[in-house]
Amino acid sequence: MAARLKTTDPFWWALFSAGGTLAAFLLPAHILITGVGISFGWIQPEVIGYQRLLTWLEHPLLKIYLLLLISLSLFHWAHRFRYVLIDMGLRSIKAPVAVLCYGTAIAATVATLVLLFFCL
Amino acid sequence: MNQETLNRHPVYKQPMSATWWLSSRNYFLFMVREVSALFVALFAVSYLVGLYRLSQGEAQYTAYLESLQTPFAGLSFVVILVFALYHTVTWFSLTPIVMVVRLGTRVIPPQLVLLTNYLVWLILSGILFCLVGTS
Repeated sequence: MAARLKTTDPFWWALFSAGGTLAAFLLPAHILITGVGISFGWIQPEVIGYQRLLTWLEHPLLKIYLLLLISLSLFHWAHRFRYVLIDMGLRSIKAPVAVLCYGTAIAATVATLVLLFFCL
Repeated sequence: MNQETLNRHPVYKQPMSATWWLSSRNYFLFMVREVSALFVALFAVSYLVGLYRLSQGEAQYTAYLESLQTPFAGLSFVVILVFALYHTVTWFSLTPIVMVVRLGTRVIPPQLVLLTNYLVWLILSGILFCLVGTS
């Protein structure tokens, strides 16, 4: 019954897919508001000002939202970029490429988690 | 197939140039779609840096906010936005293919699934704009 898991790909693919969906629906608005908007002066930087953001972050739901947004976006990148590198000719070092990509996403997730829940 | 099997039998590996994706328009668009993830990641990292600066204190966070208003940041965000939009459009186009929605024995038309995606996207973006973009 218990078939031995031969590959961890479904696990990474699930994270890739969740991140891709989250990024597709939410990132353009985030980039437009807090990125392009603030850069070009259409949006006041105060909307993500120090006090305002700290007050918002008192709410655990926003912490979870930001954690998912950052972490899953990075797992989405990790999976796609892994195959970009392989497609570009790094097939001979497949394993280190996977470790580097997923490792970066895992490290960034831990950093985000620590920052949000222990430093803020 | 494990490594042992691969080594026992000679396996033909078709050589592939590093620039194969430049040889056709479809390959190129495929690569643009894949590389869009890099810009998604860059933006996520910019938020991560923001949280780090926020944890350091008001002066450091204010410096971060000022760095967002430089021409370099502006140009970077425009490039990031273009790739993020391309990601959204290609992701939505794939959704009806990956996810076939059934209602009883009927299949919901893929165009409807696509349209729903765009509608939800607009609504979510509107909500985000109201919550974040206005003070």
